[in-house]
Amino acid sequence: MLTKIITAYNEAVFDTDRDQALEIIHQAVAEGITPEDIVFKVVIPAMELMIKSISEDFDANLAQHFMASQIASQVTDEMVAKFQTSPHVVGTVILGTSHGDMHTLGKRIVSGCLRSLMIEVVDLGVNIPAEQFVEAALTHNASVIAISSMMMHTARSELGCLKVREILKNKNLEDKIKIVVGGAPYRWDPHLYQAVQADAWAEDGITAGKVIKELIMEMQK
Amino acid sequence: MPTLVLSTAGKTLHLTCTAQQSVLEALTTAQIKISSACAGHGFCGLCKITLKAGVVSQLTAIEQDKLSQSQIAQGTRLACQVYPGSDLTLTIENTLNTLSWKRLSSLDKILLNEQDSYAIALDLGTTQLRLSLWNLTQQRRVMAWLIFNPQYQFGADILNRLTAAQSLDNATEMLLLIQQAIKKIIRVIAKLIPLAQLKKLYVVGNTAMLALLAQKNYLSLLNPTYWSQYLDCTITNVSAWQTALGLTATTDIATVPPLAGFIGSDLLAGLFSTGLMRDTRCRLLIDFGTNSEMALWDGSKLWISSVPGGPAFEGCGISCGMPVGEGAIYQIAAPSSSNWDYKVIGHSKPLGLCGSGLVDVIAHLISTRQLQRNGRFTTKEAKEISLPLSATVALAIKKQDIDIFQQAKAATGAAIVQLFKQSGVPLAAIETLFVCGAFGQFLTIENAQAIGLLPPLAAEKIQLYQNSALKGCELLLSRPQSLGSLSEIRAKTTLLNMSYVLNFDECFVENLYLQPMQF
Repeated sequence: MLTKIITAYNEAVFDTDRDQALEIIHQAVAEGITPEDIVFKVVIPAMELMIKSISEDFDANLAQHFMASQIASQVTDEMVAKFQTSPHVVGTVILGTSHGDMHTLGKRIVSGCLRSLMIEVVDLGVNIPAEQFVEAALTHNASVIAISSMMMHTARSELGCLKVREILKNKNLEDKIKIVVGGAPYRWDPHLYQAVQADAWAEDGITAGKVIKELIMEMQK
Repeated sequence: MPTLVLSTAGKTLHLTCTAQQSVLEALTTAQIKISSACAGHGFCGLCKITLKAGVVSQLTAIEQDKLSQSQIAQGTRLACQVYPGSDLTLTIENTLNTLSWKRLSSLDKILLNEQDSYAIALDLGTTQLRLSLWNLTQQRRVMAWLIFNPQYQFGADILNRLTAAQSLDNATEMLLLIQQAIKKIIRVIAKLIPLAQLKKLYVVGNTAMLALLAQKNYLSLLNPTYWSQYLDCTITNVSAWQTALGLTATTDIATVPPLAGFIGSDLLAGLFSTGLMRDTRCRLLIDFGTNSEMALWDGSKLWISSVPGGPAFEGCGISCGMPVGEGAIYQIAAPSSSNWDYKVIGHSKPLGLCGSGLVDVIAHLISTRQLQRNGRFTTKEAKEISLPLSATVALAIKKQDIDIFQQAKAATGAAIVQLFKQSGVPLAAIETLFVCGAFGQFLTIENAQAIGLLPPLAAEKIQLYQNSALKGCELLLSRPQSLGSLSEIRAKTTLLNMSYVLNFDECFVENLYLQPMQF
């Protein structure tokens, strides 16, 4: 039965048909599938499938990623609320756009993907000062700070990623907290992430899910 | 060094190019006018050239993304991606005609005489400049012109221009480009009236354009703190300006002050000309553009927001797209799915789609079920759809084009929905919706509504309103006391920055779907 649900759900996500996706999930729950199985055997594999198809498909459509990641995070939120015991969280990420950057939307895909991959996300919002990123990482015991910049000048700014790096260095936190960057300017210049002293970068929201998960796993070894 | 043999505007030019230079760099160095709006990053797709002969670098991934298969087959390339391997013979697809002003409204000779006082109104837009000669005595327009903003070479949108202006040389160059353009039209005006009778020159525009013009505070706009604050854009060196423009000391030159960092005086002028706030009935103004502004009057308060729509509405970043201008297809009717009728601006052969043409294409593809509301082609393997326009017009729309348009539409759509939510005004209360901006003028309303670009209001409530900012600037020339009411307007205004509006993200995703706007 699970195979049938997986096929139907994948199809609904591919068609970005949210109503259909939710109906499939609700029916599965009614038929006795546990919320845990839905998240781990249906939603996460579907998300990983999408990550795979996007890393292989140059023409991938961003609008559809937004739609699909909204479906995934909505289903995950609904199911996690029904979990018998609280789920094992892989790790925590602090997310925000860099100082001076008001673009909220890139983060949305990242957040949706990460949450459906069982990574806790603390979304600080837009125009976040460097100090706040580090404080939040310490408060929430997060191992990754993810900074999104949609403009070249905010990516390169001395008050953005470079400042976060400086604070981590001064507080001797560089082994405990890694920096991941993303957003349009990093696509224009694939070496930019090194210039702003980040540990890694991701090309789009969905690969960010993958990069961040791998980074967390690496650090936990 | 390779030589580029270029045929443009009926002339043949010979340029030199180093092997390290892209063709775009070589053309720009030689000051050849070519459309380009992303400083050669490969995102705008405007710098199309057609290669006739010669060896060049291979097609890049960016070009495969931005060009349709038929364009590639014809030898079309993006100048920013091409490096010469030998002498080349080429033509430019989209020449950027920044050199000449075009007539916007015809000359009214009755208004010309030696005694009347005159003034110039200028709407300084990011993409276009609109300028009119205004008879102050009789309070009527003599004539109006428009020209592409020559600053275009520094980027299509405000942020690219501001980023370029971090270099003082660039900032100075941008000012000179505008002054030179105005000076050209003043020479024409000098043949119509004695310049001593020209009493004023008022400029309205978005805050960034005005700050660059005044050469002050423009870098503050890179910091969001200033977006909701008043920014001084006053021209202080009036006599230097008079000299630069070839005007006499009788002409007062001034910028109309903006309301805040992201609310320019172009929008204010639009409020005046449309009479948005004239009584207690609710009205909405949407000015579509690279940045889209919207103002909702609820009868006593004004709710304003501005969102970066992305330059897609101006045809930028779209493989078959181009700005509104000669050769742009601006309207398409689809009497049958295999045979579309199109209208093109000017007398040249169709070169591409401007924003309103793109809206028609998307609406037709949806209604004939070739495109799904999520933006995916119904034929899953299809990467592009050829448009059934005519045997001689080979235009295709790629799936990336749909994607870029969806994102631009979602940003403005979500902002419109949120403006209604935050103000509490019901859609049914709207008496008139004014659709402004160059993109708005040719919109087919029912198509725009079908794909969720305009709210579902009865067609008779929607007015496609042209030159709102220029008309408003003319009103301000005749009634300078209106400038006093600016502070009154400011007091009644609530600025909504969508980045801080809760649930804007969800609303954005809802509005990605190509379907009527949901309230």
